[in-house]
Amino acid sequence: MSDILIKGADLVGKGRSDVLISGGRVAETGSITAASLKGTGAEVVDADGLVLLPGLVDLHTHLREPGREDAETVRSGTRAAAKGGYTAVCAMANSYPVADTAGVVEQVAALGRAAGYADVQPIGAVSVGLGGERLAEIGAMAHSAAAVSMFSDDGHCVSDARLMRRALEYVKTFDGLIAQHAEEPRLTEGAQMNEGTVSAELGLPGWPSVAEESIIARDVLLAEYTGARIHFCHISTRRSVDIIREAKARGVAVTAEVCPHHLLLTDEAARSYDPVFKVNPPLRREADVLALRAALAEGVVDAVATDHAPHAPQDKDCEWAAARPGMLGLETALSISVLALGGPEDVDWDVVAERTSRTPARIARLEGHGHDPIAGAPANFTLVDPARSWTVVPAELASLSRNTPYAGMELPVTIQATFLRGRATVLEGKLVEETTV
Amino acid sequence: MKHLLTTKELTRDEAELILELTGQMADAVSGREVPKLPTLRGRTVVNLFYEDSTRTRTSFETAAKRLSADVVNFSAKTSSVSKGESLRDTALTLQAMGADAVVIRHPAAGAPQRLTQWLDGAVLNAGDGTHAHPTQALLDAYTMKQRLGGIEGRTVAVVGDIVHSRVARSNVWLLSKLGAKVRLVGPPTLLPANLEEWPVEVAYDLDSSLSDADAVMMLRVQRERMNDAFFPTANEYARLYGLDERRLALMPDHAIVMHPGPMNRGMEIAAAVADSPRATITEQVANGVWVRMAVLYLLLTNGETA
Amino acid sequence: MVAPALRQTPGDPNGGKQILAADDIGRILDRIAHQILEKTKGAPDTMLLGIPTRGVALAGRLAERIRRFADIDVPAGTLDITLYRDDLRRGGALRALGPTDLPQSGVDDQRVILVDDVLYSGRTVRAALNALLDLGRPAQVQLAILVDRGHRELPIRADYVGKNIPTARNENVAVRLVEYDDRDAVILTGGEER
Repeated sequence: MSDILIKGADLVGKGRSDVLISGGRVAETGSITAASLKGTGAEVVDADGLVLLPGLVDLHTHLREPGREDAETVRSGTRAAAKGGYTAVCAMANSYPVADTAGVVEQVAALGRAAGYADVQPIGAVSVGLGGERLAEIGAMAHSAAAVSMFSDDGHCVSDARLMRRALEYVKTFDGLIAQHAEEPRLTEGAQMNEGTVSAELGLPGWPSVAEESIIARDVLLAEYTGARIHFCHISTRRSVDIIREAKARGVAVTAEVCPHHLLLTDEAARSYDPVFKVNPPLRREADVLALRAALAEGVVDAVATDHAPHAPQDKDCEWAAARPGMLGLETALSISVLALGGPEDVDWDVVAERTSRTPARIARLEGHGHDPIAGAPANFTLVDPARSWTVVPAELASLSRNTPYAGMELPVTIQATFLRGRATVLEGKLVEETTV
Repeated sequence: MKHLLTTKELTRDEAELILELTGQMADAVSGREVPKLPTLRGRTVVNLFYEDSTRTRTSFETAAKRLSADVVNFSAKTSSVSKGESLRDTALTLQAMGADAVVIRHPAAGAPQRLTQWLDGAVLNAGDGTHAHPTQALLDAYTMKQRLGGIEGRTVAVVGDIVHSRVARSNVWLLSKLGAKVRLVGPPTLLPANLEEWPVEVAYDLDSSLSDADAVMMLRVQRERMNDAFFPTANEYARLYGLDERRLALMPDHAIVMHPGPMNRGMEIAAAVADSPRATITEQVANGVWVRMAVLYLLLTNGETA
Repeated sequence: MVAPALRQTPGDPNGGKQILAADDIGRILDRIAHQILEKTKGAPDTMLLGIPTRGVALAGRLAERIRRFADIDVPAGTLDITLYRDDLRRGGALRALGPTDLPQSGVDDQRVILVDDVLYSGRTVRAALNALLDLGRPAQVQLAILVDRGHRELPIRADYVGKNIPTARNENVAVRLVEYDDRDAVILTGGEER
C-alpha cells in the first residue's frame, strides 16, 4: 500500500494542513511538500477547500445479509457507506437468521472484511430471534471473534420490563450496551404513521409519540436502577429529548441517536401515500424536528445514526399499509446532518465530527475510529467539499435498493474521498473499484 | 377532474356541480320508456373490490349500466393486502385491458391514490380503509339537500365510531365545504386524537347535541370494538350513543335521521327510529345510483381519459 | 390576409358579417309558423321541443306565433341532448346538463317538431332523435331550423328551413336572440374574406 499525502485540507478546528498517511496511520501533519517525499511514491490528493473529518461511524445500519440479499448485501451496503463518508457501520441484528448467535455475528463481520469498504461491527440480538422472551447468547457473541459490545432487538422493542432489566444487568459483565428500539407495542398495534392531525385525516392508524416516550422513561429508570449503560435508537419526539436531557443531568449512563430523516422530514410527507416515506418510528411533526435539531446541536442527542433500511421494490411499490418501513440513509446522512446543524455556511464542523464520528465510535467501542488526524492515529478519514451541493438520483446510489425519500432533492456538501486505514475507498466522489483488503 | 379520491380535494364548485348533475341524472332516467342513456357506450368501467360490499358494488354497477358503459367486475378476493397479486400488477393488468375507469374498494387507506400512479384511466374511490368514501358523502349531501332544502347553514351531527369511519371523514370535508356546521359526537375513544385543525365541533354527549341538529347521521359501530376497549359493552354504547325514540323526540321536527348502512338495529339505531318516516336510509341508497352516474359522467366525458 | 378589424361591421363588437337582422328573423319565424300549420293541418297532437340553448327560445317563439295566427295551443318544451352527444370523449370543460322539460302529454303518439337554431353536420339532430326515442314513441318527428349552413355529415334534412346560408367549414354562424343576447341577429364570422 502506497503512502498518501493529503494536501491543504481544512482540519476541523486546527486550520489548514497537509496529512501524510503511511502504513494505514497518520505519519505526519503540518506543511509537507511533495518534493520532500520524492522517491517514496506517495499519492497526492489535492484537498484544497475540503474539510477533513474523522471517518463517519454509523451506529445503526441494516445490511440485510444474511437473508435479504435482494435488498442489500454487506458489500453493497458498505459501498454505500463509503460513498457516504463512513469508515465503520454497526450492522443491526434483524437479519435472517437473526444475529443472535456467535456464528451469525462472525459471518457478518467476515463479510465486511471481505468487501473491504468499511468496518462492519455486528450488533447482537438481545433476545432469541428478536422474540422478546429469552435472552440471546449475549456473552458468546461478546466473546466471539466479532467482539460484540452492543445489543439490540431493533425493529422490535424489548418491551418486557423484566427482560430489559436482566439484559441491562447482564451486559455489565463486559461493559456492553443495550440499544433500545423504544416502542410500546400495545400502543402501536397496526400503526402506520405518526398519530396526529395528518393521520386522522388520512385514515392511517396512528403511532403515538407516547409509545416511544413511555419506554424511554421506563428504561432510563431501569438503567439508573441497574447502573448499566443504555442507548436509545432513532429517537423521534420532543418529549423523548426532554426525558433524556433530564436523565443525563442526573448522571444516568444514557446515550441517544437521531436519524437524518427525523431531522428533516415531517408526517406531511405521508399525504402522498407513497411508502418511501413510511419508516419506524414514523416521521413526526415540525416541532419534533426542530427539537431534535436543537438537541443534536446541544449534545443531548449524542449521534446521528442512519437506520439505513434498504427494501426491494416490491416492498415499497404497494399500498402504504402493505409496505415495509424504512428508508435508505448512508449516502445522504452527512448532507442532512449538515443541514440540520445550520447549513453548509454556518455549520460547526467540529460538532459534525463529534456527532457523526467521534461520539458514535465511543458508544460502539470502536477503538480504531473517530480519531482526528494526529500522528499515529488510524487513518480513517473522509474529505468533504462544503461548497458543492448535489442532487439525489436514486439510480446513482451505491445501495442495491432505491428507497430514498430524498429523490430529486438538492442536498448540501459532497463526499470527495474516504480513507479506510489509509486506503482510499472513495476518490473524487467515486467508489474505488479495485479495492481489496 | 381526472379522479375522485376524496371530498377534501373537490372545490366547492365541483361538489355543487356533482350534486346538480345528480338531480339531472335522476330526472333524465326516472320514469322513462328506456331507463338507460347511451352516454358511456363503448367505455369500460372496472369494479375492483378488495372488500365485500355488495351494496356499493351494485350501486356503481347499476350507475355505469344506466349510462351504457360495459362493466367488468374484477374479483380481487384477498382478505390481506400482503397476499396474492400486488395492487401494482393488478393495475398494470387493468391498464392493458383498457379500463377507462376503475372503481376501487380497498382495505388500505391510500390504495386508490397509489392506483392513479399506475393507470391512465379514471380512478373512483369506493372506500379505502378508514380514509375516504367520497360517493357516500356526496349521496348523503344530495339526500340532505332534497330533504332539508339545502346544506348551507344546516347543522349535521355525525354520531358514533368516527375514528374508524371513512364515511364520517368524507362527510366532514364535503359538508363543511358546502357551508354546513358539522358536529362529531362520540366517546373520546372513538374520535380521532387530533381534531384541532378539522372544521368541526366535538361533543361527547349525544342528548345535548340533538336539539339544534337538522340532520343526525348515525354510523355503524362494530360490536368487536368493545373487545379492543373502545367501549365497555354493546349495551352501554347503545345507552349512551344509540338513537332511540326518546332521543328522536329531542330533535327538531324537521330534522332527518341518516345512516350509511348496513345498520346494527338496537345498537347505534333503534328499529323504530330506522323505520320512521324521518329516516332517509332507503332514499340514500336510491340516491347513490344517481350520484355515481353523475360522477362517472364527469370523469369519463371531460376528455382527460380519452 | 386582411386584418380582422377591416371585416368588422360597424357597431358589432365581435366582428363578422351580419346575415340576418331582427326583422328578417321575425319574418322567417312567421313563415315557419304558417308552414307548420299548413303542413300539419292545424297542428293537432303536436309539440315543439327546442334543443338547448337557442332552440328553446325559438320553439317558444314559434308556439306564440301559432297561437297568435291560428288560436291553436301547441305546447313547447326542452330536449337536452348532452348525454347523447357523440363527441363527449373529445373533451371540454366540466359541464352540467341542461334540463329536459316535456309538455304534460309526453311524447308517445305525438307529432314532435324539434327546433334548433343552426343545422350543420346533423350530429346534434341525430343525438336529439336518440334522446327523443328513449323518452317514448312519437307518431312523427319533424325538424325546424332557423339557418341551414350545409356540410351535412349524416343523412338528415329539415322539414322547415328559415334560410339556407352557404358557408365555408372554417366559418362560424352565430345566432343571437334577445332571450340570451343583446339583440336578434345571425352573424357569419371567421374564414377568408369573400
